[in-house]
Amino acid sequence: MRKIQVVSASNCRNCELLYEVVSTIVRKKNLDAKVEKVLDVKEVIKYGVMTTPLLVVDGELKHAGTPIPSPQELEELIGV
Amino acid sequence: MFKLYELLADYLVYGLLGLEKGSHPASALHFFVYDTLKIFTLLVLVIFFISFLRSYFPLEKTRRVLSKHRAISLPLAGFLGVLTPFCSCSAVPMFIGFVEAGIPLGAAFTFLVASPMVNEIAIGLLLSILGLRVTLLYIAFGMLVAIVAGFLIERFNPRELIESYVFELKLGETREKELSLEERVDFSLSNVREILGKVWMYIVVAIGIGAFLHGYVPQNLVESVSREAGIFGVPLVVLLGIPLYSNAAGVLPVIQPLIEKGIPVGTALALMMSVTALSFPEFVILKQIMKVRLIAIFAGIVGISIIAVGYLFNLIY
Repeated sequence: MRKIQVVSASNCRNCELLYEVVSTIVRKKNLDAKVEKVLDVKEVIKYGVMTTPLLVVDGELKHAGTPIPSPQELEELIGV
Repeated sequence: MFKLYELLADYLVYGLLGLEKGSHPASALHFFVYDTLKIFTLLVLVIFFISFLRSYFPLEKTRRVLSKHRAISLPLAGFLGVLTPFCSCSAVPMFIGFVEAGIPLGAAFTFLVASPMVNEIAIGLLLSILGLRVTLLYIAFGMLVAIVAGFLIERFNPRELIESYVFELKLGETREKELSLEERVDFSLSNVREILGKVWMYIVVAIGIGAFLHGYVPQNLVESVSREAGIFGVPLVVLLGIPLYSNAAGVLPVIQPLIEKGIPVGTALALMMSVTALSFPEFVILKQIMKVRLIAIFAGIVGISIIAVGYLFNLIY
């Protein structure tokens, strides 16, 4: 099972949005993946970025900051 | 440029609906149609332009430049803050990244004030409602408030009021992505979509309320309220701005008819600055890394600076 994480320092509107869109993609495409939200600034810093939210797929940083990629772009980033 | 919109509003209100020129409903509806068209046209253009400009100043680059020029970091942080895109939910990692790069704490606070104050929505609305001159003054005074606030906060020995782990975390090598022209245009377009998607409804409602005020509220009422508030007007609106989140910059269309009817421009600008630079949700976010006392000092200094700017503006205008 793959691990998809939405990482941010605090629960802002943008990470809420990213989490929802990613969850919808996983549900719609029936992916064998677990989506989780990680709210910890230390996790953000670990990936060497300052802009949130982050999209991390299996430990690899795929996107950071706003604007959030479109659902199509997100599908590509997740690797559907 | 907006003559066409004026004609369109004329046609709709006086022609199609046959409302009587000068009556309350005609005046309100005309204001609503014209303002909605004008404000959204300008917002699309301004958000696109600012996003495009800001795509050249990612946070990582600003951090690198500030850490290289520490001696002039205060004014530089004010200037770069205006140009760097920023979302208050990134405030904590930004702060940690700045501290780690050896950027003075005062400059980090200056950035924290300047960057949200000059945001796309605020500038777009200021430009479409109050014009270029007031917008440029807003940006200049915004930078001034940010620099003064950063300078003053340094005097309060902020290091002791910041959680120790902030000084221990290591961000390491950050990446600065080089974007192609096409990617910058894409970035700007999706910014327009994202920002307007979030706030369009507030703005339409605000224009609606503004239109009602324009059409129905008599000038002498606004003037007398404004006179009653007197010199307390500015601090009053700064306090009012704190619980409102930055998106509430959408309130500006409500203020426009009030300015026409006698609320001083400086008071309106102070409200705008307070809404964008002082936000309660941001204080909650900052609490992760600093003591409440420092947040109070920060809010106090920024608030007082905004009040001073509001008075200054009312003097000039």
